[in-house]
Amino acid sequence: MSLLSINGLSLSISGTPILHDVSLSLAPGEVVAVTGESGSGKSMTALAVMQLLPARSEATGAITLNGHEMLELDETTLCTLRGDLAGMVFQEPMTALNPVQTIGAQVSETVRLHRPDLNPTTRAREVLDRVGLDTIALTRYPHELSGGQRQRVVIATAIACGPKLLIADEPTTALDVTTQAQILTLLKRLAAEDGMGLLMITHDLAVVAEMADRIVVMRHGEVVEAGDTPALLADPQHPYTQALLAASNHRVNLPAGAEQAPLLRVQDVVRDYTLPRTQLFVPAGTHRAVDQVNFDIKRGERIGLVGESGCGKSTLTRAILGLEPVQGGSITLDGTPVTDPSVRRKMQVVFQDPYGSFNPRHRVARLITEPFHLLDSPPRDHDDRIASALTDVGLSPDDAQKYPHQFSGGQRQRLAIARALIIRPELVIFDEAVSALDVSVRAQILDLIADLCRQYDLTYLFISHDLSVVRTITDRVMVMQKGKIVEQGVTEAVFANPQHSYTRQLIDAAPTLPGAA
Amino acid sequence: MLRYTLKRLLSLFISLAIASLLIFAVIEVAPGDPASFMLGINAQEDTLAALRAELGLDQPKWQRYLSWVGGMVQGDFGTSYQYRTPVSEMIADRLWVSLPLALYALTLSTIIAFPAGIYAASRRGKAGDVGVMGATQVGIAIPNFWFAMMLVLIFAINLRWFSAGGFAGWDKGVFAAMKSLTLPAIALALPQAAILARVMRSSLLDVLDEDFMRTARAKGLSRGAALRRHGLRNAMIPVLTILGLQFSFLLAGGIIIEQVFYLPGLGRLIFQSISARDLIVVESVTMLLVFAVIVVNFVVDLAYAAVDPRLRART
Repeated sequence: MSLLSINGLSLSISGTPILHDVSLSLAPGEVVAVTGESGSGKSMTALAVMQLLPARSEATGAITLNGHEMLELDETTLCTLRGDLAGMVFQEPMTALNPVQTIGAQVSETVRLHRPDLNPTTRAREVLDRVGLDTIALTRYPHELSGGQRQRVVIATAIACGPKLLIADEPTTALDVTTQAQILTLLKRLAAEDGMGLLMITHDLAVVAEMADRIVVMRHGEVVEAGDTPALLADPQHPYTQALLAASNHRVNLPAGAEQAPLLRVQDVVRDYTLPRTQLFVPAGTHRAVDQVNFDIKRGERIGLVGESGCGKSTLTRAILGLEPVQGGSITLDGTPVTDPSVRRKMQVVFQDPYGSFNPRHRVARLITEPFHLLDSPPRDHDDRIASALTDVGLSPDDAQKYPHQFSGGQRQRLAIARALIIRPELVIFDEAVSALDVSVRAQILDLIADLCRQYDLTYLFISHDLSVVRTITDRVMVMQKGKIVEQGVTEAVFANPQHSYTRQLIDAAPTLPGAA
Repeated sequence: MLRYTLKRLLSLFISLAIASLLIFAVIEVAPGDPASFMLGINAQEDTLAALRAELGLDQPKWQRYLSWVGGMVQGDFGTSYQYRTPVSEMIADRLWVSLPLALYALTLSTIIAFPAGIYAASRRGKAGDVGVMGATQVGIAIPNFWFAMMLVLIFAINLRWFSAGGFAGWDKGVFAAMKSLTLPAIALALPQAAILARVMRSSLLDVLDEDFMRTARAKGLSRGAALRRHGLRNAMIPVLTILGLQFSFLLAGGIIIEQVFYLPGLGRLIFQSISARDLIVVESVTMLLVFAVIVVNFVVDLAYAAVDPRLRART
């Protein structure tokens, strides 16, 4: 007898169809993963189970949770079920907790709502201990905790009343790999200990490969394939599942780079941040974000920089771009310090969020020609340059008159690359440039970068927290931890035979799909 | 929290010092000699000089600034050029009208605005929301002197519930005094309530979209309970800011309403003093208002910290 069964669920919001005839089931103690790319309707399926759908949603079909017909219940009854029979964990631990309430108050609130027989404070302490926060006092506020700790608080809130079903919507997407591994282990342990059904929503197949009993693949609001995890991963039937798996394991064909003289030299770079003064007459302390970093990038070399959040890779990137003062050492490009304005035209950057880095009121032609102001005089063949830059990144010259909102996320990242390459910089910096993209789009962008390497002998620094991406798109890799570069070397060698314990830890924590290299 | 309070207190004193210097400097450069104004244009030069000496106008500027500030600290605001009475007494009399009026209006405005804003936010896009927002639009658009006159027409002249103007005085009893302040307070409160309700609504709507509201709902809280328990406190920061600004405005800005209702308030005092070149009164009342604004801001800063633990940590 299944705990949750969804039968022929269709959903539309304000008349727009979102889900079409979705069916899936989950037995007590079972872990089922719903996966798919953005817009596939996986999160809406989860919200439909909780009946927390946005306004003006219309759902038909049936959702049966432990004998309750969720679509037919009134709001009052639903309120008694949410949090008690089913708990939910969300993607963003940073914002999923109320910032002005203590974690104790937030965890015990669930207990107070559903279990008047229990002492809320005692129960809150118990569940926080269970999720591994035994050293954290109930009186702490969310902003005093790390992202991983906050996600544990959210999990504690969800399991406080011992629900039969736990829904986790992208629970680790916003976390570092090592934290991700810990949270996944915790979720799996809790489900096993309590015999809870666990419905995992994720875009990352690798995350669920190791923990889900069954996988449901969704696309455009429909279930395209469902099956036991090993069978589905080993022998996917639907072409979309096959494509998704291929994209997740995507390897680009990177041409051999022509290594020459050093282009960028980073020598003994130190960046200290002044901490807020804690006492009036004691000098303010400093935090060393980048600590004695040394490396060279040779012309034609593709180099990766990996590390977890807070390791200093963003600070180092900004320092290389000349946007951050350094307290020691030097960064030079072709022998000129990067703080010199003449160096700017030789370096361009592609950021993670393409939409955020474009002025929404400018047309593409203006956006991608922005770097022209770095040149002494704008090129005469202005329009030809725009057309060829757009063609290079797989867009059409006609797109020049459009606005950024008219493009998809992947196309916007293509525009960002076009903008970076239009003045033929000597060094390109990709700062988490593919992290926000769906796997299939990510694969296309990685192919594009490889193509551009072939065409223009690019030299780039590729910063990412995603090891599998760095592995395929770089010749050399540097691993950064707490402001220091703890290991660097030829990418394949580092991945195959990591020397530093931290590198090993990162590689072990990264989820992999069976069959990946 | 203590460090936060001390820091805010320090900034309060610095603001006061800068403000007092500015006010003194501006009044100094303003044209018009109080002595010649008091004695009329036919005054003899030696009489003028004698009066200037008596008023202390012949002393060096820095000395006058220091004695002005020193006096204020001890509650001595000097003597009015025009009426020859201590300024502190004049201010005290007026303050007993303006301060209760401001508090009264602020209370009314809060009582109207909070439920209206919360109601509108909880019914976003529905008829109730549109209705409340339409009403606030009207509330902002109506000139308050016109609204004040309408109030007088209806409640004083037709219904005869209230007197049309004047202040009964506190010696007639709290009820009588408050009654004579009621119509002015309503006239002052209405546009403030309209603004506050809009701020409350939009601030709540921002909070409603936050992830933690979804978490609250997933715990099993109803929409209304989630709004009250998790939404309100998070929505308070912008509302507190506006409340602080409104109090400062109500304290000094009621001059038109004071005129309409013949109330002897601070606004009228400052207006009359400016017309009469009674600079010492202008100076003192301005300083007092600045003091009130800065103190209110200080209180609002403390309220922020009480509401949001993140501010307590960021000392």
